Amino acid sequence: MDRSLGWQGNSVPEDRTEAGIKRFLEDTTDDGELNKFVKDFPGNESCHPPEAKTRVSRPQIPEPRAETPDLYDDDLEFRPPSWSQSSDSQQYFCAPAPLSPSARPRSPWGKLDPYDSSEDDKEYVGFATLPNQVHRKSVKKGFDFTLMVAGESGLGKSTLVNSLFLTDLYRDRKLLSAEERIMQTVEITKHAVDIEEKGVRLRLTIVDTPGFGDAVNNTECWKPVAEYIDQQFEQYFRDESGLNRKNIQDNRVHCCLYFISPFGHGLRPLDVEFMKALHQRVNIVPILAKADTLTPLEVDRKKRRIREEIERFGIKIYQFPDCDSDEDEDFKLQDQALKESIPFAVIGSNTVVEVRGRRVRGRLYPWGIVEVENPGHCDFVKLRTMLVRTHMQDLKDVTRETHYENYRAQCIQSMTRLVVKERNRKYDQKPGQSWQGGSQAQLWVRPSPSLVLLQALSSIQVGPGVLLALPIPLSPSPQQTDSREWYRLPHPCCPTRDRSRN
Amino acid sequence: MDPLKRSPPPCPSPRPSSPRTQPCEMLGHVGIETVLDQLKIKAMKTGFEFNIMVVGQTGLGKSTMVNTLFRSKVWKSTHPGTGVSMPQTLQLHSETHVIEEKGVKLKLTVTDTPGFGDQINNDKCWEPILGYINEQYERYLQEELLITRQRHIPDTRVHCCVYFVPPTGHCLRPLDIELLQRLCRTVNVVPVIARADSLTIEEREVFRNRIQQNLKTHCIEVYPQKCFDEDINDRILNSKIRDRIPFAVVGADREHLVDGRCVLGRKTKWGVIEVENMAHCEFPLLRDLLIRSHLQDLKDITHNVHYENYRVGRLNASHLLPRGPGWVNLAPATPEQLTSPRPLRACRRPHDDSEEESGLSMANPRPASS
Repeated sequence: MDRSLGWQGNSVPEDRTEAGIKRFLEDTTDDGELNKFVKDFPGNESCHPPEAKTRVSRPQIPEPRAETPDLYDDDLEFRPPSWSQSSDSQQYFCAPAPLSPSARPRSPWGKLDPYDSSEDDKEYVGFATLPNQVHRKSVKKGFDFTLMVAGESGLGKSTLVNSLFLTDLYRDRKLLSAEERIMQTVEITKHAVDIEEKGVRLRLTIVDTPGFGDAVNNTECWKPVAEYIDQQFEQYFRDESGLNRKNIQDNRVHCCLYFISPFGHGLRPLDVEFMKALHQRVNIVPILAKADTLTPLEVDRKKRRIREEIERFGIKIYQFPDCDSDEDEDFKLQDQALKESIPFAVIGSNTVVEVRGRRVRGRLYPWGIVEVENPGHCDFVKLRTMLVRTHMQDLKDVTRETHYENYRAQCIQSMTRLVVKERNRKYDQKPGQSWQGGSQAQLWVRPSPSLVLLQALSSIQVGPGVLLALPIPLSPSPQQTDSREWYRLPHPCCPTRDRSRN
Repeated sequence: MDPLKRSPPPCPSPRPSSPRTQPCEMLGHVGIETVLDQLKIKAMKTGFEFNIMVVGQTGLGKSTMVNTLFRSKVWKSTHPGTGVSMPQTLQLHSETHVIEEKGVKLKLTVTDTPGFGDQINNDKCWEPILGYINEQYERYLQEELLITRQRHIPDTRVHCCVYFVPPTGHCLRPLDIELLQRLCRTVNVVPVIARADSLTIEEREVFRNRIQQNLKTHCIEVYPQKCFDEDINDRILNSKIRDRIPFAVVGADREHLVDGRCVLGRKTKWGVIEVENMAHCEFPLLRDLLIRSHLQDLKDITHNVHYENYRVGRLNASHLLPRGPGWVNLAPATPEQLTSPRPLRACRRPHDDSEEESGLSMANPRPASS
């Protein structure tokens, strides 16, 4: 442990006896659970602190976590049998009722407490429990994640979503007939589902785009999608700038899985146009759908070709963050493999088949069985690991810090430009003079979202706290560069600033 | 003849309205609890920040207490009689240090208020303190309103203010009450009985009860505030803490040998007062409250409640100014705005949407998302 200022403390282990604790217990006010608590206290419990990890968590979780009991159990009784797998949920911070002179206040973190014993009290300040404090709050709040799936009909989007999250979201879906499809336009539908695992709650929202690419003339069929994403940004922006920020609903799309058909020769014009329209708004993860129609060699070839085309067209798909330089080789190799699997060749399945005695999700063909979760058969496991187990937080961060900030900056700039024009127009116009027709037309030719927002903002604020001088943006703070800095749009006022990862 | 069987598709849940994972049919699991790991790792990388302010008269052991809390010589504790002259006016000074423990980095800023309450006429001596606190809020607000914001806005807002009550043994003094009333509306306040080694255990209890009564009479809500308890666990935990507020603490930065052990304490002719000894003083409780268990909570309440109150106040007050172009409103905050405390509001945490705050409801309520 290194610190900028430190004591040279000597610590001597304390002699703590059960009897001593019990004696002082009698002095305190009767506290039923506390008594029980101390009775079960087996002395100095050795905690196994999880070593502070400074790396992105691996797909295989190194230490098996004990079942985290429900945090909100109103039963206050301390359960002795579960002492061996105690977690922070079970132990209450009983310290405020002092027991004995030498009893260290019982830590609420239990097994997860990074401090081993009472000697640590002498040496350490105690804030290494901070990650646990944050953890506890996050578990209480739960998480949310919004995933968009886009692609033509029949590419297996719904099946894949069901396989990924082990739900049955599309159970009641009715597929449209051919006649109905002629009249169909692109819609945006949302399904929300709550998933809970090991005490952690996730509110998953799937945004679907039925009708995309299905019409005869698909010009600008990505427009509704882009508008939807912008709408979510706009709503968040409005909420964030409003007066009451207590219950902001975050519906921003965190990730878009774009399905590429396996039957073509790489990207088609529609794919390219869609991705180019959306790559500045959302994290795009390209997927090679229905990969069970391809041999491994074909998969490889297609992947390479798609990657080349993506680069050639300047499409900025979601980039994985680089490994820290202090990661081990094994992890770096894994990371490298992940990056080279783009686009993920996936297979989804709603059915369960039996293979060699095990029940797995798969597709049964006369010539064999395709297992969805077999890494040798497809990249499903990689996709799920990336999406859920290792990069979910990063996807949300990039959405929040890059895409949303870009949108916000653009929005504000266009708002200010409009308002400046409006003001100039007012000042230019003298009484008796006719309108400057051109500028007015220019101003009102298209109600852009930013103008709408401006009006909405001024109508929302209770005491309309509106708008004065443009602030001078502060000079960019010196931060280390992120290799993904190309995400940042050029700022007209100040040059491209490095958005870094701290 | 076909040895491979195909099972029926996973059965739908009995409650079609909210599909959940089917444990019986679930093969493997999704693995969403790893999001916690991801969060934790990210938090460890970025590090944490904590800003604490100590307020109290000279000689109550504030600097010593800070040193004891963080086990470092954050300041040189000023000793009496070393010729240090008392400052004529209240000056605040802050020091920032980065300390690291077990891989967790904490950027700690401590603000001291020497000269508080030392003058003959202590009227309005709380104004520099309130001004400082509001200035930090203002700074954060300005950063938040920029067009291109930083990824991580540096947080200099005061998360906790430890108020040192002199151990008179009677009750809270008028100065204490005036200051606490104003401070509690702006920042999380944790009052402590300073230099508690001048009171016996019984005297401490009596003093504590009187102080609690005083606080109740004057409607002063110290941390942990009752209205912010989120659930039953919190309430139980926090009410235990509230029973013991204000903690009777003793600070020390010297070590002495007691029974063969080396302890932090104050040595007197009649014994050694051990700081870490729960029978002697309640310092461990204070430390655990501030650092080990409620640090994040302090920050959250500062961010979600006190800062939001400030922000709303500023945005509302700005409507007095003429409208104009541009994005960011704020006219520079008037000194009056900075130093006067805001009206008391029963503001709740973000998740507590069952009750409405006065005057803060949105003009256009949003439809709930599906």
